Amino acid sequence: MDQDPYTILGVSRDASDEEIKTAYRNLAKKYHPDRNPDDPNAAEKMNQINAAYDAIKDGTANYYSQGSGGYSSAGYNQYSWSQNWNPFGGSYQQAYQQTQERSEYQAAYHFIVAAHYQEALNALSGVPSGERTGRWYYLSSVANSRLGNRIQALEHARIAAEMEPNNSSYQQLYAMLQQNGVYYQSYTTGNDMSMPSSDRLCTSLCLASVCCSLCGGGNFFLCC
Amino acid sequence: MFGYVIINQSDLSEEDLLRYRQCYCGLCHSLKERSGNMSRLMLTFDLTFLTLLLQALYEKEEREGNGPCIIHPFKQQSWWQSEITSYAADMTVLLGYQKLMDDWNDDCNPLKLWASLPFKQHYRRIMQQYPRQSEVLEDRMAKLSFMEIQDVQDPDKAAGLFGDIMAEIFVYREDHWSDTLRKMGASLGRFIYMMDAVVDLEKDRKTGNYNPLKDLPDAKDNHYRDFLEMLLGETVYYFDKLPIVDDVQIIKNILCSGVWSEYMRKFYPDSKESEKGE
Repeated sequence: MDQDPYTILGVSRDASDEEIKTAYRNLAKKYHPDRNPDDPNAAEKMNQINAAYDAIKDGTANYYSQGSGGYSSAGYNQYSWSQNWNPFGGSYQQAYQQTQERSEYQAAYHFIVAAHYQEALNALSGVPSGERTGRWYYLSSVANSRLGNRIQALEHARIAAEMEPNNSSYQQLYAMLQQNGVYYQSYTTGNDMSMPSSDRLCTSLCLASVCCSLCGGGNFFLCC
Repeated sequence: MFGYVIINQSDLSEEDLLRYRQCYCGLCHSLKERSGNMSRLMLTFDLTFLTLLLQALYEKEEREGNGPCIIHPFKQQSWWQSEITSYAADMTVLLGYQKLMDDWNDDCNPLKLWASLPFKQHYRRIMQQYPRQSEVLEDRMAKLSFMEIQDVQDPDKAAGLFGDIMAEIFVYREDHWSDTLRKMGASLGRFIYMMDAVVDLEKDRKTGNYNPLKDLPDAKDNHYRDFLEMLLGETVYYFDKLPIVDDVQIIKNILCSGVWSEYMRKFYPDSKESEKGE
């Protein structure tokens, strides 16, 4: 893309999210190939508009500003941290490696470093559940998160952090894995949303609730 | 499994509530037109949400109507429909029929088989028209059944399978937005599956029904909230990437508030419109 994405969309750098989306929609209505079947350049133009929109939303659009340091706007990339972050980088971890630890933990550690995450989990499964330490849960969490097993990863990070509250690596991992949840909380607060009350809702839209009351536990029809 | 992706009625304006209701009614009518009267029983709020989302993204031409409601026979209800509504209606039958067959295979309940018969021809039509969604649905449902029979305690795998199903249903067509829609559908699908597991955990422990959370040591309410918020965080992250300006308040109402309705009823039965807190 040669042109500044903001210029392509026709918005200022401090445009609100709604303004950016509205600008995109207006341009799409104008240039979409479906609406311009006789224009051979329509598809190319639409690609430009799509790329400009994506760049602004991803936070890479600021790299197009002249002479700036290329500081990216808050392009929240939920798993980018997990690609760049080294869970074994702290000095605490290096010191830990010196001490004698279970062979399963050493094996799992080496598998993780070699990016063989399933093998790491297999090694860890050799430790009986009653003997699992914070280290076990930490290693399991790291391997699981790399495999995309986000629920297990979060749970195990929590347990590791609870077992060893003074271990900064464990606390750090847990905090990182909670980022999506923190993002959700701020998104909800920012949009002024509150928790629903416990009263029964939507009874006026009653087809689904009639269906639910028909089946209850009996499963007469397929229901919810 | 469905029924968690709903509005928080008390937080919606009258205008938005009407818009949502009209979407729901439009979907109901579309089901009747396309797959017969009985298919209306398969209607879910979840697919109503999808209709609203995809319509806001693609802004297909809307047609409006008025008519009596199957539940309110003496009242005229207004509705709107578009191409998107037809798609959602077909997806509703795809999911509904599959659920009936799944129950028949699991429990050998002849009622389920009997109930599925009127829909068979519609299911076949929809399968032919939407092979991508149908194949993923059948494949993942079979894998989920297997996990249940084997009692595989792996919440990520189970939720991921359901997420895959929703991911394909979210993708109306392959275009610039399909990757984002797929990821949004996958996250929301995982959320739906896990919310269902959380809400049913106590009951499943007693009945012995499959639940992938059974082996989690002493998980409490705030632990569930951790991963449920994580999954919703992914969902809204992908939603935010879509250039949607219409009906945003309704969609956000659902994703930020409504989805917690059943959870609040279960764990905070005495709460009244409170902020989620300890």
